[in-house]
Amino acid sequence: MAKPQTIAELASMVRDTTGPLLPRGAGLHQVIGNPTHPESTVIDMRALNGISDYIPSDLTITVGAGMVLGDLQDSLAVNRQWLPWDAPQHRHATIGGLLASGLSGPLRHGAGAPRDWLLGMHFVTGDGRIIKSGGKVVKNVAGYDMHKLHIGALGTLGIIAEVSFKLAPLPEADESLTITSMSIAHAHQIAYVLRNAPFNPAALLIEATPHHIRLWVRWQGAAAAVTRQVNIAHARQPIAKPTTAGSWEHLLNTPFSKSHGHAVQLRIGCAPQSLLALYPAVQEIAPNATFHIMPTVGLIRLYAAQMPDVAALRAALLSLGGYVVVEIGEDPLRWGPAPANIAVMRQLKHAWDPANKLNPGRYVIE
Amino acid sequence: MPNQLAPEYHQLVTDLSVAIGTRYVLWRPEELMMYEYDGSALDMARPDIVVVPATTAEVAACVRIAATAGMPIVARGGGTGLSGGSVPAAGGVVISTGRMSKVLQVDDVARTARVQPGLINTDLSEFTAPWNLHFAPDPSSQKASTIGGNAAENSGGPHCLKYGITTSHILAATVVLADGSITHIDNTAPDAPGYDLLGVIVGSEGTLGIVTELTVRLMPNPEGVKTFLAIFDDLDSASDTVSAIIAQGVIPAALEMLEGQGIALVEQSVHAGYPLDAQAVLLIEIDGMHEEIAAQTAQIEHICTHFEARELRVAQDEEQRKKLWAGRKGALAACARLAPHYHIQDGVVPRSKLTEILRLTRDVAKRQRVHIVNIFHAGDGNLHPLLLFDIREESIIERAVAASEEILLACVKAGGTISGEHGIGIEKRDYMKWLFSEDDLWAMRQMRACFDSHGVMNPCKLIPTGASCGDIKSARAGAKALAAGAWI
Repeated sequence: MAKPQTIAELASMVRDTTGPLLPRGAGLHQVIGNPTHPESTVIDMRALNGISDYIPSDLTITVGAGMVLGDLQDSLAVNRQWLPWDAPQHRHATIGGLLASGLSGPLRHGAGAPRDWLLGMHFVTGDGRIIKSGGKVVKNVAGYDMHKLHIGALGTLGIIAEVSFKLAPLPEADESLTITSMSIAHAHQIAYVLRNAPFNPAALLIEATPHHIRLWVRWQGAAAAVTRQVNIAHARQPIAKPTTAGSWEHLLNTPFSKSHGHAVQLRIGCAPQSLLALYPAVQEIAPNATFHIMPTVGLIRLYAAQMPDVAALRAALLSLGGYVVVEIGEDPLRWGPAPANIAVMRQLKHAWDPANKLNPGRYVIE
Repeated sequence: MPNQLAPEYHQLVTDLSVAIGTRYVLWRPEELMMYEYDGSALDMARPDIVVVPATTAEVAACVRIAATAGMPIVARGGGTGLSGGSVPAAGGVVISTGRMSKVLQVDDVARTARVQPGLINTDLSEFTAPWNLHFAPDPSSQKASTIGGNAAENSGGPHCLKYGITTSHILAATVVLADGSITHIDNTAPDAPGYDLLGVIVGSEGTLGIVTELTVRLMPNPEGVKTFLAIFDDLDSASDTVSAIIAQGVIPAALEMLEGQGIALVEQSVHAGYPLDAQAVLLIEIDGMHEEIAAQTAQIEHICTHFEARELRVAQDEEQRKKLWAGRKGALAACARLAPHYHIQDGVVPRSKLTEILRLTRDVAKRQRVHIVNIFHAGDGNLHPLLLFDIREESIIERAVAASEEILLACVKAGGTISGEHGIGIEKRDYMKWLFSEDDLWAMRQMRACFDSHGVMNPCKLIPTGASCGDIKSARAGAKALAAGAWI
């Protein structure tokens, strides 16, 4: 186990270590993807957790990838700022880990994906070079956006060492409702009503368990604007109940925790306009699963005790345009069919990690 | 200059004509001349051939033929680029998207549109207006620039302050690669397994492939819009106001600055109500729900008062709002009233450094004896110093280039960057080393080679190369540009 204190140290470690490397933050999402190589040298990134450049008046920040996102949010809150990013375990995972896992949550509806907030990065290649991509200011087209390639890449293209983000002001008001529904399709329809004018929600998520189906809606912004939307929503949906930001966190974290006995986690991506056609198939194939559906983004996380018929799911998605990834659980075809441009991806992997040191065997490109 | 007598040339024309039709293969010198330059007009180079295909398959055929013949390939949309991105620096085949300019499909539930790359930016938003949807990236060139060009350069524009730059609005693309193969990258089902290649293709300035179809995100029109003109008697107050607005967490939809003579020139052009005697004005637009507008109005009024704005006007109706924006976006043309030639720079600084960099710009202008007008995206720190001159003036080109470089270097030293939206192209290739180390450039070259192992896609752009990159007629080189003939 190595624990670099600086990026230079990290680069040295990468250069001087032969054999597979396993960069790790809080370790909360390491279980995603193919199994780790048994002889991996773990590189604990958590000492690279400093704020190296924070300009509150510019709403930009540069931090070590080993910083825990919750700690970052707490530092930003002092200046009434935040990074609009939620995900399972977002308060306790490291920024590098979350980026490498490609995790995001329902705030994506209003705020966009972490990709849209990421301004630049320093990463370390498999041969120990420190590479800069992007910059620290909110507009920058100098050079390729190489930093985007590392999102979701499970650390296979480089070790994310330091990242720069643009920030948002904390909203004046932040209110949420849950609306119970009898079916996912119905919840989906309500979600779209609440997406359209006069509404402008920050987040929408359908929570569907074997016991209940709830649409979660979150509004942020000027207090009077939030109040108006909440009131109209109540008027149209008398069964709506208020809920809190803390409840969102609990919602996102809970299916993930082992205590709930979820051994399987699938990620389903589907163009939003095709979701209604997908729901019946998904429910039939996994009747006892818990779903977290982002109906306007086009993502479903499926949590189950046992592996459903993934092949049947993939077949259902074939005509609709989408994919299934087995994030957690055993499946010989975890990633589905090879992506169309896998040849280019493999070449890039080989160029930046010629000895295949970085998380070998864990990602789709192998 | 193309050797049109060579048999290889004749073969190339023949092969391309068979692929897309004789009518759409341009080889006459007077036709090729029209494709020698882009909006920057500083770097010029003549293509060997220009083709205007109609479909993805035809683009692929042209690429295959050109690549087989060892010819560089340069895509061109509206030709409005400001960094030489569509200038065929090493000659070769220019592929114009002029015949691929349709909206193919609008999905108002998904809020997406499938479009061809040659579609003009404003045409897209006009088309989607009946659904109360628009395409958010709005570069000043939008009446002439194309979606494909916007994607290649990762264009910005005033409203990207709130809504993000082009890369956040491209969801899928069909791309013809350097070997003529066609690939489709689709992020409409988000977070698909594999590296985010679309994330590097957008903004790649035509060096990784040619986009022949795109799926773009459409934004719903806001509930309300309010447009202010804040008028200042000194530049420092105006730039301090910009910094304060952002610092206080007010993110307008757009926050633009016009200063000095630029204001009067713009007003003469559009008669929108810009003051003729102000040192600086801010064009501030806020949008969203009515209550948000009310809250932000109060904050903006407070800040403008604090920094002693002379006046804070509000556009009375959509007509006046349109005129104010027409003035801002047509500013480059309006400034032709002052001088026949220009060079527009594009740098970025953190918003907190705005006042400092504008002061430096003034010093540089004085010292180099060059006229500089600032009309720019103050809200995201994206400067556009506009250098105005007559190229017939003794040594003016050297002084203008020196001034422009000084400002750009100052941007980098202030923690900023060498291009906010116009791209690197030819113009800024050699400045890349101000920002990037040899290792950084190595990583970029390696990545580029994965897409294009022979280096045929828009060579000589974006990354500095050791090898010579063609005989570009560059104003930077001195008097060569004059020999090409005068231009306005």
